[in-house]
Amino acid sequence: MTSIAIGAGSCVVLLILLLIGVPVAIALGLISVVGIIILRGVTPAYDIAATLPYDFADHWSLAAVPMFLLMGSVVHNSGLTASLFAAARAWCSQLPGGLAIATNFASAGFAAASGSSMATAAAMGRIAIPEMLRAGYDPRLATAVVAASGTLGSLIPPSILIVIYGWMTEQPIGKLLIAGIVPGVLTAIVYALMISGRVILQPEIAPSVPAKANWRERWLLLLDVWPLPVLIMGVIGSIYSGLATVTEAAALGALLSMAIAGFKHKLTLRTVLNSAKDAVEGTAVIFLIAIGAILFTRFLAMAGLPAFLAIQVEQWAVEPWILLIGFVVTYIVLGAFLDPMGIMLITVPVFTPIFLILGFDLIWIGILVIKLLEIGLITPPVGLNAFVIKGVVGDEIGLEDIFKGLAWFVAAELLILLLLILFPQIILFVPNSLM
Amino acid sequence: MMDSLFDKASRFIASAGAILAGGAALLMMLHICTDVAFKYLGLNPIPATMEITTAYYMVPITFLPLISIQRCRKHVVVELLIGNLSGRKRRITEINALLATAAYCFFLAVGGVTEALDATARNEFRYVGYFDLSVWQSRWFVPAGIGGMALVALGQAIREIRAPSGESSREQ
Repeated sequence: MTSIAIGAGSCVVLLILLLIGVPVAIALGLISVVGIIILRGVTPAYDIAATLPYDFADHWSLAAVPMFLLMGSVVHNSGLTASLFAAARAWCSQLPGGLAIATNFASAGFAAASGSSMATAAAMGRIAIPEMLRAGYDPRLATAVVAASGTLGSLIPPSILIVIYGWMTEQPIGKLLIAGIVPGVLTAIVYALMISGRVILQPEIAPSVPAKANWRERWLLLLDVWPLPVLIMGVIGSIYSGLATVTEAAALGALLSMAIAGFKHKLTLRTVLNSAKDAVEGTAVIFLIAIGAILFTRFLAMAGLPAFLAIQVEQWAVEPWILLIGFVVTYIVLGAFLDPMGIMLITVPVFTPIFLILGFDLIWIGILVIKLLEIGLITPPVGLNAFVIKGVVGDEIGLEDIFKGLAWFVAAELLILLLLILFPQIILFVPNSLM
Repeated sequence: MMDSLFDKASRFIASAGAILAGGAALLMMLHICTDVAFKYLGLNPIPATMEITTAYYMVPITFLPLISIQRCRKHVVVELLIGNLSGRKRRITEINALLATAAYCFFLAVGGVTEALDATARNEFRYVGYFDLSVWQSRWFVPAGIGGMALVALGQAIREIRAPSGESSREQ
C-alpha cells in the first residue's frame, strides 16, 4: 500500500471514528499516531507525541485565545450586554420586522463582545424569542434570526477562529481580525434587508409593534450600551494603532471588561472565578483539538497527501474558479456534519499549499473559510446554533421549523459569499489600507 | 466503595486543575497588562514576559483543565449518528470513545513524562537577556493534565462496562 493510499484511507477512518462518537480531538490524534507508526515506526510517533503538546502550548500568539475567551466570559457572566436588546428594540421597532432586526443587530453586538456564536444564540434566544413570539411573530422567523445572527461572532473581532487560522497559516492575525469587520457588518445589514423585504411581502409573519420609546428614551437606552463599543474599539483600536500586539490587546480587553463590569457594579468574585474557569476550559477544548489536528497534519505530510494534491492541481491546470467552487462545496458539506473549529483545523493545512500555488491571498481565503464555517453553523443536520435554539425553546418549536426558517438566512449567506468571492476588495480594502 | 473513591478523587484533581489553570489565566492577564503599561509609562518592561507567559501560564492553561473536561465529558463530539442511539448501542459507543481517549492520552502522557524527566535532568532554562529562566518545571504540566485525563477516561470506561445493562454511569 502506498503512503498516499494510507493517507487517503486515514481520512475515511477518521470520518468513521467521528461518526461513532469518538471526540474530534481524540479521533484526530489517534488516527495520526497509528498512521505515523504504520508509515515510519513507533519511535518517530513517540518522539512527535512527546514534544508536540508542549511546543504547541508554548506559543505567544496563541495566548490571545484564552484572553479573548476570558473577555467574552466576563461580558456574558456579568450581564454587560443585558441592555443591548432593549436599545436595539427601541431603535428598530418601527421598521418592518423591527423586533427581528433589533435581535439581529443586538446579536451581532453580543457576538462581537462574547466571541462565541453558541453563547450568543443561547443568551439572545432567551431574551428575544419570547418577546417576538408574544408580538405574534412567525416562530420560524423568531428562532432563525437568533440562530443566524449569533454566527456573526466568528467574523466580527475578536474572533477565536480567526486567531487560530492566522496562527496556522502564519498570516498577520491583526490584519485578519480587521479584515473580518466589513464582511461581518455586511452580513448583519443583508440579514436586516432580507428580513424587511420578507415582512413587506408577507406582513403576517411579523405584525408591527407600536413604538414604546420616545426619542429621549431611545438615546438614553443607547447610552446604556456604551461598554460594548468601548470594549470592541479598545481591542481593535489598540491592534490597529500598533499600541499593542494581538495577545496584548486580548489581555487588555479582558482587563477592560472586568474594569467596566466593576464600574457598573456587576463584578463579583464569583463572576471572575466562573469566567476564568469557562475561559480555560474553552481554551483546553480548542487546543486539544488543535494538537490532534497538528498531529494529523504531520501525518498527512509524511504520507505526502497535501503535496500530492497540490502537484495534481498544477499538472491538471485546473481553473482557479473551479477549485474555488470545489472548496466552497467541501466546506458546506463538512459544515453540515462537523463543528467549525474541527473543520478548520483539519482542512486548512491540506488546502493551503493548493491556494499558495494558485496565488490566492490567504487573508481573503481566511475570511471566506470563516464565512463558510458560519454557514455550517446553521445548515442541517448538524447546525449547532439551531440545536442551541432548540434547547432554549424546548418542545414549543420543532427543529424542522427552525431549519426551515434558517433557509432564508442560508440563502442570504450564499449571496454574501458570492459577493465576497467576486469582489475580494470587500474583504481586503480595509486591512490593506490601514495596516 | 471504589466508585465513590473514584468520584471523590476525580472531582478533587479536576477542581484543582481547573483552579490552577484559572489562576494562571488571571495572572497572565495582569502580567501582560502590567508589562504594556510599563512600556507606555516610560518604565522598564517586565523582563521575560513572553517566556513566562508561554511556559508558566499557557502550558497549565492548556493542559490542567483537561481533567475537568474529561470528568464532565465536555469534548466536541459529532452527535449526528450517536444522538439517535439508545441503550446498549449508545453505551458501546461511549465505551469505545472512552477507551480511545484513554489510549491516546496515555501515549501522550508517557511521552510527556519522558520529556519532563529529560528537561529536569538537564535543568532546562531559557536565556532571556538579564537572567536564565528555569522552565523545566513547566514541562510537568503536560503529563499532569493529559495523564489525569487518561486516568479519568479509563475510570469512566470501567464504570460504563460495570454499570447494569441499559444504564449509563455518566456523571451529571
